[in-house]
Amino acid sequence: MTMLSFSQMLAFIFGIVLTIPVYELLRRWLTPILTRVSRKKHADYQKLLKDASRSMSKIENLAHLFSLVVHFLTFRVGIRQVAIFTRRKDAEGFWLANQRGYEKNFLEYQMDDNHPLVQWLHEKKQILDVQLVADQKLTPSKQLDMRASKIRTMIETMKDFDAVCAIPSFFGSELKNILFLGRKKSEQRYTRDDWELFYNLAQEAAVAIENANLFDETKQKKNELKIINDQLEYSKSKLIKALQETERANKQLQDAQAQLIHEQKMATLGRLAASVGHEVNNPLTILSMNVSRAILKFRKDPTLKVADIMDVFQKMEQNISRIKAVVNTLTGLLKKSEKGKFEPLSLKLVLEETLPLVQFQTYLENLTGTEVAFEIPQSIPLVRGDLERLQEVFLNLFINAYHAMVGKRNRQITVKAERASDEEGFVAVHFSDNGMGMTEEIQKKIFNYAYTTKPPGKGSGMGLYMCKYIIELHGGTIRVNSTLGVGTTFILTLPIHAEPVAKHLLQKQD
Amino acid sequence: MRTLLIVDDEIGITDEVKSFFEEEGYQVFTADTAKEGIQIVSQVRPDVLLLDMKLPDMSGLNVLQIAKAISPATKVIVNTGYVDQAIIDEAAKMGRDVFLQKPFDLMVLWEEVDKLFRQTPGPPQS
Repeated sequence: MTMLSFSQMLAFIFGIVLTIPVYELLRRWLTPILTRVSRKKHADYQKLLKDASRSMSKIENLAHLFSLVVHFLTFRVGIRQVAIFTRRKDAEGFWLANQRGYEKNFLEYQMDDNHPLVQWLHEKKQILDVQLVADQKLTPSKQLDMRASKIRTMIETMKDFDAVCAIPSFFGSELKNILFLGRKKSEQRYTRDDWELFYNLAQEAAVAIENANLFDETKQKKNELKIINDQLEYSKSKLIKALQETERANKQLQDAQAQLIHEQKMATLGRLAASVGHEVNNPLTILSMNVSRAILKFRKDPTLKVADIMDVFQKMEQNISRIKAVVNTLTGLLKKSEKGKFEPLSLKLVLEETLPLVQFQTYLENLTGTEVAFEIPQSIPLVRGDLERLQEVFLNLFINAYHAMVGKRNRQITVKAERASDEEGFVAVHFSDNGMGMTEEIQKKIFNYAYTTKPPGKGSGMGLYMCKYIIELHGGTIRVNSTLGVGTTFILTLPIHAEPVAKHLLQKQD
Repeated sequence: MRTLLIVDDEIGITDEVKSFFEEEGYQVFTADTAKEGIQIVSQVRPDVLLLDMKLPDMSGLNVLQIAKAISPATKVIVNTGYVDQAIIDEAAKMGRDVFLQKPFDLMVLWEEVDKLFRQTPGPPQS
C-alpha cells in the first residue's frame, strides 16, 4: 500500500465525518417517505380486505363464495396457486371446495380430521409456513406429537398443492376451512402484512361461508316445507273429495232405499191392482151374464114374472156383495197405504186378508194346490203395526214358501201365532212350509241385501231384506230355522199393542 | 151340432154360459181345471174353446198351446180378468182366435162364437 498523502488522509477523514450528518439527513428525509410508502401499502391491504369482505358478504351461494375467494387471491392479490378446503356438513374431514392455478384437478382430495396439518392448524390457530416445516423449526406443541412421519405427511400435502403456506379459517373455535397459497406471481416473498391480510381474510371468509351454508340450509328447509305443504294441500283436497264422494254415495244409498221402498210399494199396488182385476172382474162377468140371461128370458117370454127368475136376481145379489167386499177391503188397504202409521191390528185378519193376494199371485205362477193352515187362537192380543207394510211381509213369506215347495207333494203352509216365550210384550208368528229347506250357509245370508237363491232374473233378493227391514222398523225380530229337504220356518216377533190404561195399571203393580 | 167347451175355474161363469148356449142349441162341455180341459179337448175336439187364462193347475197359455197342437181345428177364445200385456201378447203369438177382456157380456160372447162359425176356415184372426 502506498503512503497516502496528508491531504488525501484529511479528505478521507473529512468524508467520513461528513457522511454521518448526511446520512442522518438522508435518513430524516427518506423515513417519512418510506413510512408513507409502507403505510400506503398497509392502507392498500386494508382496502383489499375491505373490498374482499364486502364482496363476500353479498354472496349467498356457497359455490360462488369459494370461487370469489380463490379469484380474489389469484387476481387481485396475485398468487399463483390457491386451493380452499372446507369442512362439509354431512361428512367428516376437509374436502376441496375450489382451486385455481393448478394443472391437475384435485376433485376428490380429502384431509381427514387426523391429518397432521389439520391438527396443527387447529391447535396453533396460526398460518403454517412450509419453510418452517421443512427446516423442522416448528414450535413445540403439547398436544401434537411431531414425529418425522407426521412432518413428512404435512410436507407432502403442501407439496401436492405447491403451497407456501396453509391458512386456517375459524368460525368461533371450530376450524372450518383451510387455504393453501402458492408463490406470488411476482415471486416476491410474503411479508408480515401479507400474513395478516390472509389470516384476516380467512376468518372473514369463514363467517361468510357459514352464512352461505345457513342460507343454503334455510333455502332447502323452505323447499322441504313447501313440498310438505303441497302434499298436505293435496291430501286435504283428496280428503275433501273423498268426503264429497261419501256424501254422494250416502245420498245415492238413501235414494236407492227410497226407490226400493217406492218399488215395493208399486209392486204391492200392482199386486192389489191385479187382485182387483181378478177378484172383481169374475163376479162382474157373472153379474153381467145374470143380467143378460134375465133380459133374454123376458124377451122370449114377456109374460114371465119376476118370481120365475128370482134365482137370477139372487145370484146377482150374491155377486154384487162379493164385489162390494172386495172393493171395501181394497179401499181400506189403499187408504192405509197413504199414511203408513202404526195402529192396533188383528193378526188373524191381516193374515187372512193377505191370502187372496197370495192366491192370485200363485195362480199366475201355477203354484196352487197348497194347503194353508192358520193356527191363531182368539186369545192372541192385538199387535202394533203398519197394515200395508205387514201385509207386504206376509205376502213375501207366503210366496217364498210356495216357491220352496215347487214339485213337492202334499204341500203345506202353516201360520202359527202365540205369545213370545222369550220376549215380554211380543207376539211370535211362525211361518212354516214343508219345502226344500235351506243349508246353514243360505240361512245365514238369506236376509242379505240382494241375496237370492233363484236363477238370474227370477228373484231380486230384496224380499226378505225388506221383510227384515220392516219387522225391525216395528221393533220386532225375524229369524229362520230350516232343515234341508224337510222344510223351513220363519219366526218373526211383533210388539203387542198395549193399551195406555193397561200399561199404567201394570206399572202400578210393579 | 155346434160344440163348445168352456174352461174356467169360476163355477158361476161356467154355469151361466152352459145354460145360455144350451138354450141356443149348442152342446156345451165345461171344465174347471186345465187338466180336465185338455182331456175334453182331445176327446171331443170341440168347435170352439172358451179358455180362461188364469187356471188353478196350469197356465192358460200352456193349455192354449196344447189345445192348438191336439186339435188345430178348434177355434180358441181366450179371456182374462187381469190385464197382463205379456200374457195377452203371448196368447196372440200362440194363435188364439179371439181375445176377450173380463167382464164380458153373454151377448158379446154369443156374437163372437157365432162369427167363428160363420168364418171360412183359414189362418187365425189377429
